[in-house]
Amino acid sequence: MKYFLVLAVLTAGSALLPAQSGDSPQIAYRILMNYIQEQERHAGDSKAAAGVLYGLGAVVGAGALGLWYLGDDLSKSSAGTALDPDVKLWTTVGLGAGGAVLLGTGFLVRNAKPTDYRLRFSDVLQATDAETQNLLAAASLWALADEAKGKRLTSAWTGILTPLVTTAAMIALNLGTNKPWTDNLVAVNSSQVFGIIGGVAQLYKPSDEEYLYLKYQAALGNTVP
Amino acid sequence: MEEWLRSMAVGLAVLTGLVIPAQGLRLESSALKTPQAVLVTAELSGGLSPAARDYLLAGNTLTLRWVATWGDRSVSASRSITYHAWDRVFAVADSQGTVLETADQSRALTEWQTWPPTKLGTREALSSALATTLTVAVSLPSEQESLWGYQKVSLSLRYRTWAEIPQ
Repeated sequence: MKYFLVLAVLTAGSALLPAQSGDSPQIAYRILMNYIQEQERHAGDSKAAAGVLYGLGAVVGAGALGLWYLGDDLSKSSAGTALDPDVKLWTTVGLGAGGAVLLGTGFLVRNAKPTDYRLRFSDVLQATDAETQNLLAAASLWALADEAKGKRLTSAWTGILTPLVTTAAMIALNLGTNKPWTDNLVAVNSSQVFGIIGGVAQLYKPSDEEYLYLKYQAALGNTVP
Repeated sequence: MEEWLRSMAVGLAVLTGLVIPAQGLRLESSALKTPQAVLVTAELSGGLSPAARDYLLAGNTLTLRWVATWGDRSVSASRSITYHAWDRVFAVADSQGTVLETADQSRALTEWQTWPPTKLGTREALSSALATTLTVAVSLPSEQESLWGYQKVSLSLRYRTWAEIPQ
């Protein structure tokens, strides 16, 4: 439905997508077709990405278990004293939660149903009229960019806000148990640093799909931010 | 002296290529259609690796060899870039002769790394190739392969119907 709304607007004479004659290059369709080919070539990459996530999750989880079971012994042998029980508990919780999130994400990535891009864009691929095909492709590029931007911002803010939520929960717990409010804030956020860094980076770096739409705009001679 | 310097540059470039493989070699390609024929076009980026840059600026010629194969049809082309240090000019040439002479390095590189639309065959000749893999590859001549750290760059494309091929 979204595509058809966009198509309706575009065909009504949007300056962004000037009408093309039957013989002119299908710029939008070329970019979209390259995108589809690229996605098909990298269809197996999600398995590798899942492997990396599983590996990281296992390392972080092993860190949590190691800290819980061996932390005191290691601390005694290096510093002469056992770990502060509170710090040990909340650091273990922080690392354990991070490891679980990484393993869970890996599982989701590994088992995600592969997208059939030719089916998804079948309306574009099967269009027999070159001009309509190009307009549909332009609409698809816009929709792809819009969707990718939404996902990117959601992921970025999730990465940034999750430590704020755990921090707020920890402060509430501290105040409720008459401890200094700053206790264990760093410990409980042990594995959140990557989320914050990744989140901030995602806020400012447009996704590939957004770049594609910018490329299309540039090809049309429109000003690209 | 000049020959010695050039040999040194080549030797250094080969060594650098062995130690630091080229980063960011990226190939984009597409089939295009006209009412009569199917064309293939491609664009490489990152072809001027640090080793290749040293090799070129020492006054040598870098040649890209393009090959596209679809079904039993195959087309190839080559495109060379030379730096004339004395005039500070880059010259890009194909098999027909010089296509561009410019002092603008970026423009020369873009021209060198672009394979302009080239006829692969008529639709009739290619009809049996639909839905099979169209392979586009670009390489340096064997004696210059070290400049890319011996990397091969190729791309597979797949078109199932004529409608899928952009014009």
